Amino acid sequence: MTELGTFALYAALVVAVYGLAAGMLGLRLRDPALLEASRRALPGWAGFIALASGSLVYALVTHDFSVRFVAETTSRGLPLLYTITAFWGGHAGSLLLWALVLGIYGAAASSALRRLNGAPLVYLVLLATAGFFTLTLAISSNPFEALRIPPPDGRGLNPLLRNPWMAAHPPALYLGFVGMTVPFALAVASLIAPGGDGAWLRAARPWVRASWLFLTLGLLFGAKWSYVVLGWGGYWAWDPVENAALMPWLTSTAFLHSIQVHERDGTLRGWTTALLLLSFALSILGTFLTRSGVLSSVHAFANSSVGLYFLVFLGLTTTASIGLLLRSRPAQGTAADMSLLSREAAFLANNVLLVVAAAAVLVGTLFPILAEGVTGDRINVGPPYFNQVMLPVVILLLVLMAVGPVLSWRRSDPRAVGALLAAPAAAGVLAALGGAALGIRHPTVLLVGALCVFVAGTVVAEFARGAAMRRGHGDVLPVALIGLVGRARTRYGGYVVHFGIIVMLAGITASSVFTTQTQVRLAPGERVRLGRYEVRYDGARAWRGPDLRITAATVTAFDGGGAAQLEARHLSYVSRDEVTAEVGIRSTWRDDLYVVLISLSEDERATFRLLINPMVGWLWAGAVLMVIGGVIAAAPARRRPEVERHARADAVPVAEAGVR
Amino acid sequence: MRASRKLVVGLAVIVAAIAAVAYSGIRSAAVYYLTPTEFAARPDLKDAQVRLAGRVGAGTVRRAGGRVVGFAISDGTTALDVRYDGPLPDLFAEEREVLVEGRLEGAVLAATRVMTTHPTEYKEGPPQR
Repeated sequence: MTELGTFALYAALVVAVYGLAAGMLGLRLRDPALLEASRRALPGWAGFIALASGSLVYALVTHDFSVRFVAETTSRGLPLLYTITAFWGGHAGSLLLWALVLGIYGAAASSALRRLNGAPLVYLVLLATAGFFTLTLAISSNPFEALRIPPPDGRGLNPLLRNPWMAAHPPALYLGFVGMTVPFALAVASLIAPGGDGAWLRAARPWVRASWLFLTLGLLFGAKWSYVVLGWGGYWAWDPVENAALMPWLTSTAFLHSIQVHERDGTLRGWTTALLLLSFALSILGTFLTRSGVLSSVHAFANSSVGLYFLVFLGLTTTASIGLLLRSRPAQGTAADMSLLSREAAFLANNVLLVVAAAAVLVGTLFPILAEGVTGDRINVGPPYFNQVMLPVVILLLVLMAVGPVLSWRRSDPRAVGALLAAPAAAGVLAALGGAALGIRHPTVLLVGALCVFVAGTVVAEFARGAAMRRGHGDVLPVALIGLVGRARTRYGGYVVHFGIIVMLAGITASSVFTTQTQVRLAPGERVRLGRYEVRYDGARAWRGPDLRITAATVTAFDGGGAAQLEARHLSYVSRDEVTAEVGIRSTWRDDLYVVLISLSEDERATFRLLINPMVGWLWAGAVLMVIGGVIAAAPARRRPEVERHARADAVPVAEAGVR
Repeated sequence: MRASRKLVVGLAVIVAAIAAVAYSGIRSAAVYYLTPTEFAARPDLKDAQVRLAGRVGAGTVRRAGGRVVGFAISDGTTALDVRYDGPLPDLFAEEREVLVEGRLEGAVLAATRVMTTHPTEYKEGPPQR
């Protein structure tokens, strides 16, 4: 099977190179047969990558320890689910996953974009990316590399990865990262073959939406994993690998807003294109940061050839992107009569803020590398930096989220805007006063809280306004709401996302400011009081599972009303000689009681760390709302034909779009 | 046209303000990452916020009332006493690699945070963490 896998990788490389050659020649000779061959190379390449992936899964499931990758990431005792997800539990496998995801997107693009003029250029960019990843896989990170002497059993999967959230995190994240490749290809095509008014940019929108959705899911899974496994009580640490996913999320969010301005009046074309190029570059950078080892040290990076491949690829794509952007003709002027109080202005401000946020995260993430390169000192900038920078950005974005939806295009009547905003703004002020009356003295919390309520107010008002209009036609409320959302899914899906964001921000703010914690040592039957909870330690027990020994301490939490039993565990993995924790969490809408077992002594005395994290449930609920909103907006539109008609009218003949 | 210019100026002011916040953030949040040996050789960092990587020395963990209040870390060459009474990560134990963040007070590092290190060898590391 390993021979088949390696064969499939090389075959995929051949197909990618063939497709590239056929496409370039086809463009030069204006030969439709060659262009068709190039298009078909994409699903062909994807097929071989799928074959390679299948071989790897087979090797994993059959415990073929003659394959280095299998021996290093699995063992016989590993449950089947984690034996399969070990696919991305190591370096070479994650790269193969990257390629597999690109295969899915590439094959989809090769059929979805068929009718877009200039598509051959898009295929060329996709094939070039495919070629790069296949080359890296085949030469420097072949997951089928053999071991001369196969060990009797493998080393087992890194215990931290034996968790459902972590099993699902990489595929979601990669679907997000790699999803930026098709928009990138479309953006490059639009720059090489100018003249169209941006049919390519419009065509990029569904792909960016899908990508955004998966990035959101990936971030959610990562945060959830961090919360339930790492046991430090938090869900986000501004860790470079987290930031790597956040940056393209920020820039693609910016794109999803600026494209609305561009679609409406054709302005912001260069900017919107740049956002696509930037999102792709940040996705590649994200893969590079997490895969190359550059973050642990510049010196570790120097020993990793993969890092070098990525750096070269990143350098080439970025240089080409910037070159193409500079060469392209400037946009046909911005909206000269755009007023400060217009939706365009709000979108523009939102874009600048999101890009500034991405830049600030980038600086903070790369700072240690830059500092080590320049001064030789390894200097980190921790969470305080990120929190300090993001706070003003978040506050300004909240203001825009509250005001933006009620603004009209071009110019708004200040009095009408004031009338629409009066009630939501009053609700926000009341919320802040209420919070202050309840004893909250933290100015940031009051401000963010007020703004969240303000945003919620305008979102609800927007839904109410739309639904009222439809009810005027005689629909009952639920029907009116569904009809409303169905009519303008981007808009109302977007509002649902906004609502999710404020629910999430409420959770983030409360849980990062008002956490209380304590560390105690208890004998069975002893109790401790923390906040509104009284926690009783009931006792400990231990048992064996597959490849692991589980020690669990049970506690009962009383909160005045009811009682809930929780279990905090230690999992010791036999094959790896490592211990991980499983946090006991009791989640309510008010707060999470978070119980970490620190140690357990022979006499059954246990040391616990107990935390009360207020409103963490809101964070997950908000994230789910964001995903729902994203799905509403991303679901294929029914009015497709119109877009295509448009695309055809704007399209540039293939020959003109040719490579110069 | 005037409105657009106002918008551009307004946005530029906001961007500049955020950049200023970022700059001051970097200055105040900078943490030097060193081994105890490197730290000993850098008297200029005596008052800086540092993050030291080392192994918790066997038998060095001091407790008071069941709680850990201090320990020593070592990189094999240089050992350094650490004073700390905050929450400890799950996997804290003797002989384990830890990261200790804090400032030097006399000859003892007054730690504000103790973390256990994640595997840095990327082959074994979690794919996206």
